[in-house]
Amino acid sequence: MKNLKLKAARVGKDLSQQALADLVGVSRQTIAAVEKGDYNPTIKLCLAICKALDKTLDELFWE
Amino acid sequence: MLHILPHLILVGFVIAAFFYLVKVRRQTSRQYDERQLLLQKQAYTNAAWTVLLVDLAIAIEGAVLEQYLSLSFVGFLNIFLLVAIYAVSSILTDAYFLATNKKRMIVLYVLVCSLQVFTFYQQWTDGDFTQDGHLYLTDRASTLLAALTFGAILLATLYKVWKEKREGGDDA
Repeated sequence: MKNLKLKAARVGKDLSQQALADLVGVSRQTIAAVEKGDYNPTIKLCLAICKALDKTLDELFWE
Repeated sequence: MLHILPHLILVGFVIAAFFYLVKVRRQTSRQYDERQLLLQKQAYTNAAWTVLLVDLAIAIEGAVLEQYLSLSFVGFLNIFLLVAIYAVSSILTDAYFLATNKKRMIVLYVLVCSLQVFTFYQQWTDGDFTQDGHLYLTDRASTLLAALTFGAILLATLYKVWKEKREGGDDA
């Protein structure tokens, strides 16, 4: 299932996938895979993404 | 002396390519993220299972295949199969190469593949792979395996480069 909340939060911060990937220390393809729902990130990566986007886990990853 | 020159050049090139790959790997190994490491492990597993199944098939059909393949060729087949499946699988899932070093790797693959094809062609015309008028692949046919392996890796890398360009590198 696509993570549209993550994509919306990223676009809201005016960040490209590459920019967000650089902020959290992963590859662009990993951010793309998380957004497309092809990869379930670990809690460590979820927290890093939340911090980078100033969001909570609930806001980005809770259904 | 002159006739072994292409083989010496080939050996030198393969050794240089190996050390170059090790250097690239060391430089980039800390840049792999959690998804890439997971997919690399899956690629290792897929490669190992495939080689096991191929060896099982060869063992079952051994009586027929021993007319065409030497044991040493099967040994090389195992090694190249492991490398090919691991590398192609990792490249297709973006788990191996970062976009920044794809171009130089493509050049390296083209060089290695071309050299191996050339050497195999020379061996073929010298009649290295026939025995009593039949095809018989020995360890000398490792050049063919290397050409196929690097050819597959080259195609996988080209496909990923094309795909990334088509997707525009963002919001895929």
